[in-house]
Amino acid sequence: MIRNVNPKLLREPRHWGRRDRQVLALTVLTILLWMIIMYLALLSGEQSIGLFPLLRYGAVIPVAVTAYYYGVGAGVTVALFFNSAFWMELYALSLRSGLSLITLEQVAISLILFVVAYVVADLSSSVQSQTALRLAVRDREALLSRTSNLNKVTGFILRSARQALDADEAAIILSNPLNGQWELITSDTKHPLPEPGEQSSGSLTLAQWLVERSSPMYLQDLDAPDSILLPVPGGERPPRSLLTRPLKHSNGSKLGCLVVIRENGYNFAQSDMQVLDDLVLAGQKALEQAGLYARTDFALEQRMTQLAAIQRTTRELNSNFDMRNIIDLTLQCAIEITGAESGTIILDVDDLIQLIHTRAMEVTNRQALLNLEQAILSGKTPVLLHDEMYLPPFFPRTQSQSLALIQRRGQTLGAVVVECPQPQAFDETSDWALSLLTDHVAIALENARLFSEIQKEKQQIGLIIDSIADGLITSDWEGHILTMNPAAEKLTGYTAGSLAGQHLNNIFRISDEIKTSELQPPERLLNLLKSGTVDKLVVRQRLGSKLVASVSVAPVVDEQEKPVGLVVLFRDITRQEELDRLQQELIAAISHEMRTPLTKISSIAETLQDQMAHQLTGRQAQHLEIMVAETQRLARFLDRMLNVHRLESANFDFQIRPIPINFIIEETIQHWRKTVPNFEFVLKESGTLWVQADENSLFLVLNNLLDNAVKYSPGGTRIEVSMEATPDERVLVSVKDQGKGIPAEAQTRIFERFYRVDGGDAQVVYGHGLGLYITKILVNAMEGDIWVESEPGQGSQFTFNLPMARTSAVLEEKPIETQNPGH
Amino acid sequence: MSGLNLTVRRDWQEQLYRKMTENTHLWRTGQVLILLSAVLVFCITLLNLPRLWVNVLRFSLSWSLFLGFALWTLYRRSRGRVTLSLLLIPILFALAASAAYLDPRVPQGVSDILPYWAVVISLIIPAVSWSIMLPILSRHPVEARRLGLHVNEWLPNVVIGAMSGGALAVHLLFITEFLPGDAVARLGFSESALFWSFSLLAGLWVPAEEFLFRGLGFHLLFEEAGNSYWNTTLRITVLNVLLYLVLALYTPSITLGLVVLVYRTGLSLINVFLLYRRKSLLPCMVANLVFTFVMMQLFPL
Repeated sequence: MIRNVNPKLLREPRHWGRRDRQVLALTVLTILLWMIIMYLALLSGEQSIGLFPLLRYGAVIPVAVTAYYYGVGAGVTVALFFNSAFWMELYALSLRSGLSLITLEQVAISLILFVVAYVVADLSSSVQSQTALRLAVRDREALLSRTSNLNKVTGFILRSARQALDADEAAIILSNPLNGQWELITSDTKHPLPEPGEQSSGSLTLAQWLVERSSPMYLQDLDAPDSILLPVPGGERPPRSLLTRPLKHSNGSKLGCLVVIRENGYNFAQSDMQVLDDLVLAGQKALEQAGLYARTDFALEQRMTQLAAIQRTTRELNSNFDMRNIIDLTLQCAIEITGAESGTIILDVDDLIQLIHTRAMEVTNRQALLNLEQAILSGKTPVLLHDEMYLPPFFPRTQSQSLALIQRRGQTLGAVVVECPQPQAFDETSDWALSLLTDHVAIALENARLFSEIQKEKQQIGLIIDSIADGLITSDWEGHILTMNPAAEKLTGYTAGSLAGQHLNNIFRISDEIKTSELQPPERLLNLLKSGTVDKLVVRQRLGSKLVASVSVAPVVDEQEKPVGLVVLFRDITRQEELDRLQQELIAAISHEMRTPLTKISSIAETLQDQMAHQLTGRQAQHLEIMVAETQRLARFLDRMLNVHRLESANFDFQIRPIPINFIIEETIQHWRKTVPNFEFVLKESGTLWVQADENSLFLVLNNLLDNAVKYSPGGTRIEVSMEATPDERVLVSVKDQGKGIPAEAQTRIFERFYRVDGGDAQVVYGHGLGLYITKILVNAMEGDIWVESEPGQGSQFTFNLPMARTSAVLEEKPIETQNPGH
Repeated sequence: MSGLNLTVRRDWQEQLYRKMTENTHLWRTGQVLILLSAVLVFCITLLNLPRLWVNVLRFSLSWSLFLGFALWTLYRRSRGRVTLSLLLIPILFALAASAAYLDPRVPQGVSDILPYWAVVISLIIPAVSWSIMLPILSRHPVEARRLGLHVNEWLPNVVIGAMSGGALAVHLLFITEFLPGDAVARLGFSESALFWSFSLLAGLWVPAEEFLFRGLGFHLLFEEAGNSYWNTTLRITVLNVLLYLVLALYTPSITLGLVVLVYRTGLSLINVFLLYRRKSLLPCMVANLVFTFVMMQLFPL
């Protein structure tokens, strides 16, 4: 028998347990005993003794008990039962003796029985309601506390249902929250229900049949021949009765059903369904929440797995610049994160477009493919539809396909296509994961491309560097050698490997170290290289020999303009140096050899001029005067040449000490005022300033600068000399003239040896191009610097600085007597 | 959970429809039978026949017919049901006639001629009756179970039935103390009367009444047709009391007739409740046996 249950009845909780049966039996027994005693008492005719009132009051007990356990209706029924007897007795007594206290007492007891029935039932109802509420709350809390675990929730519901209905077994047919497949869950097993078409007979199993029912029902006598079950000859015996209650989501959709089974015993009835109601109401909510948890957990786990796979692949992609490896890694990861069976990567956009065109010829709805092609061509992300097969399947049996474009900076690099033999195999999650992967793949592909380009450039640069005839050494900022080109290897005799990591000091020496044979700390060489002030170094070769190299140093800076290394380019100039040295020595020798006879010639000429002036004719005196002047000029030229030689060969004798520069300048100016009185020499006083300098050199510098100013300024003009102290403890000295000035292009070269400014007066003004050269060498030797500021037609200003003498040094040294410059 | 893997008939809807149709037909037949019985018994009482013949016809047309119909519902699908019916009907009528003949209230009956043998012979009635019923019940256990005929928890069922019937009987005894003297026709609690009453009730009356009204009626109306409890109870009780209404008319006192009707109504209500709660016909049969046994000692039914 199949009977649907009236839903209105499901709200009425009723339980009929062992205790109820005991109470009923006790009540009936009490009534029975009471009736027997009453009857026997009546038979004995002892109505007047006190037994009857006691018995009458005793009727309150069964009335109260019945009302307490079964409600006011049952209590009133029992009260009526007793009162029916009492009223008969009351009628008989009133006929016999009229109204009396006994009859009034009889009436009162009748009323009391009804009152007791009502009051006790009301109390009982309140207690039972509260108890039921407490039990319901307890069950609900017990269920909700298990909502995070579907197995615990189902286990609790099954156990509760079995106990509540005294059933042999209980089961839940539940839609799997992860895949939507129906599953049959019992207390110890869980297995999926086969799809209706999977059975060979085409018939439904009882479980499948129950899933299709949407209302509560009970099935009775399933073991009867006329039941809805097919008999199984010699097989298992069908259950006796079955009760099923649908489980629903909060939105009313089907969640599954709860099935309670009795193998033996009694059939289920409608009252049994009411027992299940509270449990089901709480249970279906808990099942829904547990399913939600399960789905959330699964989705999170799936995402975590996908992200972990993508992260792992990305790590490998980032360290891999081989295109073949990138493709293999991408395919493996794409198949793993989407659950696909196969996959393809198309890296040529032309091929992709060709495939789309091919596909577009086959399908009737071409809009999706046209959108895809448009997106690829425009470099935008296409809107992909789930139910479309975008490209011709690459593999047989494919029924679903997912595509993600590999795009980088608006450019489509290709596409990843994964395929599966199951329809609708890909969802938004797999699409999202595939898209995330392709983002990383795009970066990896670009990195690989950049790496390839860098490799090519590196090869080209390597070839260029290898082809350079000059030596090239790179080092870090601390001076440790990183690389050497073949020319450097050839020049030094070392291989790049043998010098890698060693300090530049092992290769290069400063020239004065060679001369003094005194090793300077490595920092000095490094500082010189970093400052760029060195242009010539000695290279120490592997076999102990040395060579002189001109050096060009450039710092290597990073993105933040922070220097991180040095590039040292050097060229072997040993032969040139030797030639220069020989040349200088030759010049020095010539000068020296010519200076002595020239001095004698000059002396003789001057003596002749003094002693024989009155004996000579005018023409002879003029020739003699010319001879004296030319010998003096030649002597000055030779002096300068010798000075240059001494300075360049470091044989110039410097005595650096504190000197009051203002006195030196005044004395020099006084000399020049006498020598060329037609110029206006102006000295801007600024007090006594002490400098660290060599006195003779200082005279020479000042004389050279004033000589230069006089030479290139028209007569009668003003030559101004000034000096001042700077905050960095240096003294600036400037010589400013009102001459023709120096062109800008010549200003950088006027301190070079033998350089003279091209111009109309270059040949008019007598000079050798050595004065400023010597001046610069002297200033530099005194740890000073010299420069020029000039504009054509505006005059020139030569400025040099010297270190200021410290006060302690000044106090130790006595102020010197000013001397003649001696030239 | 192998039961859920059993296969459902493809024609389960037709199967259910057939069953429903059959149940409707069965219940209609039962109702017609009860009404016909009541009418026939009423007619017999008007014919002024001798008490013996009235009893024979009354027992045959009521209890024998009801019991036969109830038993037929059990074996109606089995082979040889016609043969079994042909054998069963004369036996049941014979039992009814025997019971009528052994009635101690019948003048010149067996109880007067062979008072001691009457006791022995009366015990043959339940013996024969149950020796026929038990094989039928055991051969059709599912059908018997549907009528509530099983021995599960038999001891509590017997106790509950005895207490329920006993309570109602004691109440009846108490009430009769206040009834007019002519309303009560006591049997005198003689041994032959006790044995006869027991035999008639146990062999014929109680099985017939309970199998048909509570067993078949409750099953068809409540379990199969899905009527509510009170609807089922009222319909069963009305049909059950209908028979006693005829008997009440037959009784010499109106007071007696009313008391009988009231208490039979009460018994019907109690028995339906016992069947509903206990899911067994055994307490109903015991309650009916106890109460009717006491009532028969008081009233000449």
